[in-house]
Amino acid sequence: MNAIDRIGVKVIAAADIPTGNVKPLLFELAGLLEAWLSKGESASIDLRSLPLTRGDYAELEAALGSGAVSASVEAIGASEVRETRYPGVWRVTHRNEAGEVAADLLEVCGLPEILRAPAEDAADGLIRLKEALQP
Amino acid sequence: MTTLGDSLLASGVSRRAFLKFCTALTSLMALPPGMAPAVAQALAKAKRPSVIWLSFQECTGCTESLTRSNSPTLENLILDLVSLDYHHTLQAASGFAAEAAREHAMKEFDGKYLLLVDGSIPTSDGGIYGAWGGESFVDILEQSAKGAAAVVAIGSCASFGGLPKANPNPTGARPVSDLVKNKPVINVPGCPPIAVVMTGVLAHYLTFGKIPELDAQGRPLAFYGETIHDRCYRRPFYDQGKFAKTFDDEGARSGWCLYELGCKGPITHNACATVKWNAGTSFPIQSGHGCLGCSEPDFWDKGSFYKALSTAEWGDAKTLGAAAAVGVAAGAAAAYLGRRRQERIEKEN
Amino acid sequence: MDLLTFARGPGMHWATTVFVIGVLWRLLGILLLRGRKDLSEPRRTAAWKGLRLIGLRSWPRKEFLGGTAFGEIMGYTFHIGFLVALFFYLPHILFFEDIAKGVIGVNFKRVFGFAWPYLPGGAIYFFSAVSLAALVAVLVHRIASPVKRMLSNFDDYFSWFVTIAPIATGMLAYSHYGAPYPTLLGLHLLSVELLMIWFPFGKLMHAFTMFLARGVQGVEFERRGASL
Repeated sequence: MNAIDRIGVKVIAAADIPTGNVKPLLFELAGLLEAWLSKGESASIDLRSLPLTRGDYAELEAALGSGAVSASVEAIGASEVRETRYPGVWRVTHRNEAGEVAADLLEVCGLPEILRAPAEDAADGLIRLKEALQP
Repeated sequence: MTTLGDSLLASGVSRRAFLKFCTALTSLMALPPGMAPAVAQALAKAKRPSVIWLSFQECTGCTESLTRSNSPTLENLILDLVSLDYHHTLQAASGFAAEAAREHAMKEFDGKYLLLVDGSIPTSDGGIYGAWGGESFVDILEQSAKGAAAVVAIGSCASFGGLPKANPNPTGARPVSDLVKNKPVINVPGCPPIAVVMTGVLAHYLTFGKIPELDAQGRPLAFYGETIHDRCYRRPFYDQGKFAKTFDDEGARSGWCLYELGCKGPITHNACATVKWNAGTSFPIQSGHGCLGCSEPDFWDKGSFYKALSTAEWGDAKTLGAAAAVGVAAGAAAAYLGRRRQERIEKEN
Repeated sequence: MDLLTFARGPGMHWATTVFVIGVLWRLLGILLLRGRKDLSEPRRTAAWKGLRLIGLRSWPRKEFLGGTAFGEIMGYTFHIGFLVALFFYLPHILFFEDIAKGVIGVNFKRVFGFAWPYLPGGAIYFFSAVSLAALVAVLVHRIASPVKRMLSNFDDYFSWFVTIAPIATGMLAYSHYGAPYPTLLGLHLLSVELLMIWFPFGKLMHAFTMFLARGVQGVEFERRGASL
């Protein structure tokens, strides 16, 4: 046996250690939710701007859970919108056409912007609808 | 130049898709997500500038890193945001046809094109150590920079001189900022730079039409404002005094701090600890190897990568031996003079 | 070349060289002098036993404590705090081990069988703070006491400064306070280099000469039969 085969290998997923950054994040969400309820201010948090490990993401998932609404959007790749167990707090994950995460956000609002139909797209759609109705 | 909004509309991209793209772009540029509407507004009105990429004394690692960027994908970036009119590795044309394309782009978009440079520029002996088509890199850079709106020095070689500039620098390699003096220069260092950092910096310029805020070394603050140490997830171990002593020992396997193994994280400014590499997969410290300090100037000449930051270069045994010899000689001489004085005093008394 | 690169490179190189030259020069310049010839008959033959004066002088006789207690206590506080911070902080240990490996060729663990122990950064910070406070206290005492103030010269004040600078800059660097970390680290290294360069030429040489002086005096006293 080669000397190299005799070296023991232990896989340590150091990336799975939770850093404790989820708790302050939840506090921030509470503050943002309060601001939305009292002043109607929406806000979003870019999860990738925070130093979160895989362990933290798992902790976050467990803490936020899932709520009443889940939606999928197909626009240059799939986007997933899920309301957490706290209404008004949404997890929005945008993926590109290759399936990789392009943006991962927590939005505190009545409805994430991606779900609303933009006026420009509706106007385009109206033109197509009228064309389809022509004899 | 048509606006980006127009070209996207023409290619059938819905407004909803465009807004999603802008959200991703905002995240990429390390801007707060609330700025996505502003980014959308700016991007819709942005022109598709011509981008010319000059590759000089480089290893192509920066291009390799950039092609691993995922969001926006390089294909997206090339096709949608920029008109990449010249790039040795990525272009289909070669030879005179390629040079003609470059000169055409430079003339048509005079004063407005973005010049990207990777690799350092050799200047010794009239610059003969780097040339293509019969022209030296020095001359090509000078001509190309003349009509550029801004210059982006991609990678440590272009930003600071990099490996070619390392001791003894036989080709007289110099960074872009040494040679381009009258145009704004953005340094995006790293060996190579992180893919999303490169595309984020480009996206910022393309969206807002101006260069992002830079630090004293000309690096965008959004990505180079903090040191690796500031955001390292192994920081708690550093603070507790838990250090790995060798590679793969018990401490290393428990994810302890790599200070003793030469990590230069405390003095290196880059986004590796937060943005990470390969779509947030990992970065050197997470994989168990100390930071090399590759986004700092002259990192090749700062001593061993595996000696701790605190082990300054005190010299070597030979120099200290020579110093000891000098000290002994001086001491002996001083003692000799002292003894003569002692004898003289004794004789007088 | 930026501050840190200079401090870690040529700065340290030259400071170490000057330190080695200076210390050997001063030490040999003293050791190679001829001792005073004592022509009297020795009262006690085992004069070497007088070397124990080195230890005995570690604390003043109670007759003198009234005037010296403050200095002694502050002195010990400073020295203990300083030496703990210097020799039991891992980055410093790595520095010394690197020199030992370069000069002698073996590492600490191989020579002594165990690794050089170290304390966590927070503990070192505490010891540094204590030694810093002691240094400030003795300076205030020196300036406030009219006798001490009159006796003090450039050596006294400058040696105080080159001693407190590394401690202060080290604490600033550790807490990342006041400037970007690379700058703070560069300043810390430069202050250490200043200390190393000044060391052989001022009263800091007491680190070596104290033992020589006490030893010589102890042997002389022992030879003459005086009580130590």
